[in-house]
Amino acid sequence: MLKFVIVEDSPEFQEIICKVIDKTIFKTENDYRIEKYSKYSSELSNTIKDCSIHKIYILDIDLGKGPSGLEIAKEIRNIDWDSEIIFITSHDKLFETVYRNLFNIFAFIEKFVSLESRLEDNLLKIISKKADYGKFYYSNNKIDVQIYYKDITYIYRDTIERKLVIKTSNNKFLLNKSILEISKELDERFKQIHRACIVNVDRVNIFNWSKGYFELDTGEKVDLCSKSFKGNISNGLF
Amino acid sequence: MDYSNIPGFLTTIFGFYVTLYSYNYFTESNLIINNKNIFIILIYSLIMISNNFYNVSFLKIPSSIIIIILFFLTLEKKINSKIVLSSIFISLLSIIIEFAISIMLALVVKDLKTMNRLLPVKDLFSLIFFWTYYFITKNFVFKYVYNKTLELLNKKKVIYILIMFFFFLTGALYSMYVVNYLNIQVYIFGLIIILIYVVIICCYLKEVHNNDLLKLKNVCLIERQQLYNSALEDYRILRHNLLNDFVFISSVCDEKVQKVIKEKVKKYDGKTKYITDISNIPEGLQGLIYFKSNIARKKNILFYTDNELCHKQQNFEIFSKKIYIDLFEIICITLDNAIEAADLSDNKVIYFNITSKNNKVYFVILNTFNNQIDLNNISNKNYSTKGPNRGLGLNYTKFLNKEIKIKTSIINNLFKTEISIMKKTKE
Repeated sequence: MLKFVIVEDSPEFQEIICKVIDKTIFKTENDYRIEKYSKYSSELSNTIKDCSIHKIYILDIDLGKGPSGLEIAKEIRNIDWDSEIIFITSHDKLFETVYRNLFNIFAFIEKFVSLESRLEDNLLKIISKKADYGKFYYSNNKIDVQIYYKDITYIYRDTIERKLVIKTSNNKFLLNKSILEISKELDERFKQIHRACIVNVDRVNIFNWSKGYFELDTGEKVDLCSKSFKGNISNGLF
Repeated sequence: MDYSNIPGFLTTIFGFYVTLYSYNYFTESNLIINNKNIFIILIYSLIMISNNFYNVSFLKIPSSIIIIILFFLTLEKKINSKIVLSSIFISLLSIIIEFAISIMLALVVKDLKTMNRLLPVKDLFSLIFFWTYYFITKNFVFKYVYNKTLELLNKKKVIYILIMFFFFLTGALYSMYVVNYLNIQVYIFGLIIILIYVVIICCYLKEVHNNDLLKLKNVCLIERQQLYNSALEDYRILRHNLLNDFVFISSVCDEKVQKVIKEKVKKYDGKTKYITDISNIPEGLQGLIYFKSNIARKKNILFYTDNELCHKQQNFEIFSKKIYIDLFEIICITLDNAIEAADLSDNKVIYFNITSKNNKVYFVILNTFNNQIDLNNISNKNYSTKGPNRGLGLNYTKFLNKEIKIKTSIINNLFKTEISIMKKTKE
């Protein structure tokens, strides 16, 4: 079940967007529901807080009086990083780049530049995208961390630092945990392939068991691959 | 009174004339010498002569300053601080010049003590002094100093300091007078002490002046910023309404016309840089945000600010100066860290937001980063992702002020710092 939440102050545009949604979803046979708002309200706030259903927000930025689409997007992201947000806007590139990076906005569509076709394309992309919102959570008295599983490439034990290292596409996080402890917090895509290494198999291109390395989709080669754990990959066991 | 000292009395009258001309020059007033004013000059000359002859030694100079003040208040027929300040200025200037001339005389004349006992010689010296004083004070430097001193009339704190300075200077100069004339080293030493003190006071006055200039510049900056934000808001509303009207017009036209309208609409496609109105937060913080955003932009980092307090039409005030200064320092260090981290990342983005909830103000700084972070050691002293001999900033901010709470988190590829403080709102 999908819920489309449209926040747009112009009734004409609301109708245009509804037509596009109906036309797009009809092809996919998904169940869906559309909620329309012309401005921020308590009903919209309740919808945002309800995380039981997967939502796609289509927000206009300028809503006249009251909170703008930006503020609504921020409120959404305070609670929910899994729903998709599409902005209907005419703002400049600076704004788009910042919000795309910081608030995980799926798309920015300009009102007067092929709105219907671009909206349809983006909705199809969202629907065909495999929903993958699993996260790794870690918290101590200094910092709270949440990282998507899909961003983690591999995890290994650094024997020099004597810490567990979580490697993502761009960063490295060191923490005081063991391989066994962290394995309980991960999902089935993570397999142990070395005494000191767990890998995200969705991010691996090649396993070279004879030479003892694996190659990631980022191009990185890691020499932590042991034949004795080959069964975990072939059997699908963890 | 000694009637053989009629020349001394005439010299005193002459001195009052010179002082009056000097007063007119500095204050640009038009006090004329008419019959009534001549009478006043005569009376005050008598008083001054009596002060010189009969007053206690250490009270002579302070008394003569008071006599000068009363003289000008009588002439002006009103009492205000400008007249008093001008009188003190003229009196002290005359004392300083007389003191300087005495020093020069002491260098030339061997037996100054004997000379000082001879009244005619003393009177002659006074005449020479008054002539010299008249011409020296015409120098533009003294007028400039006078005008600058007058600007300080509005500042009570500075006036009190100046008054203390005047009294000290008077006392110091008087002490120089009563010391043995022959002892030139004492004079020079005293003069050096006075000069050092004068230099200190001048530096202080210069700082006061610079401070005023900065305040003025700040006021101008804030006014311009407010005008700009107001214009930006008007433009934003106009654009929003215009674009919606174009939609409506387009919907009632045929396809050909719709295409034309769409082309025209592209002209109004927003290319403006979105600058948020931050005028409702303390000025120092405004300056900090602008300054840091400039540094970030120079490094090609996208720095985006948002101010939800403005949207909610709320102001906020910090309780005390200490909290404000500490908050400023924490935000400064956090922004520096954010800029350094974003600079190393692929996307290079920093987002700065001010918001409020439940009687607290939150400063949220989100930045992209590309780094290795030890989650158990972060914000520990001497731990840093930026290399050796670093690692004091986060630790320092953590313990700086218990009224200011700092929370850090990592959300996917974003580093988030949330600084919160209780607010005192003024709506």
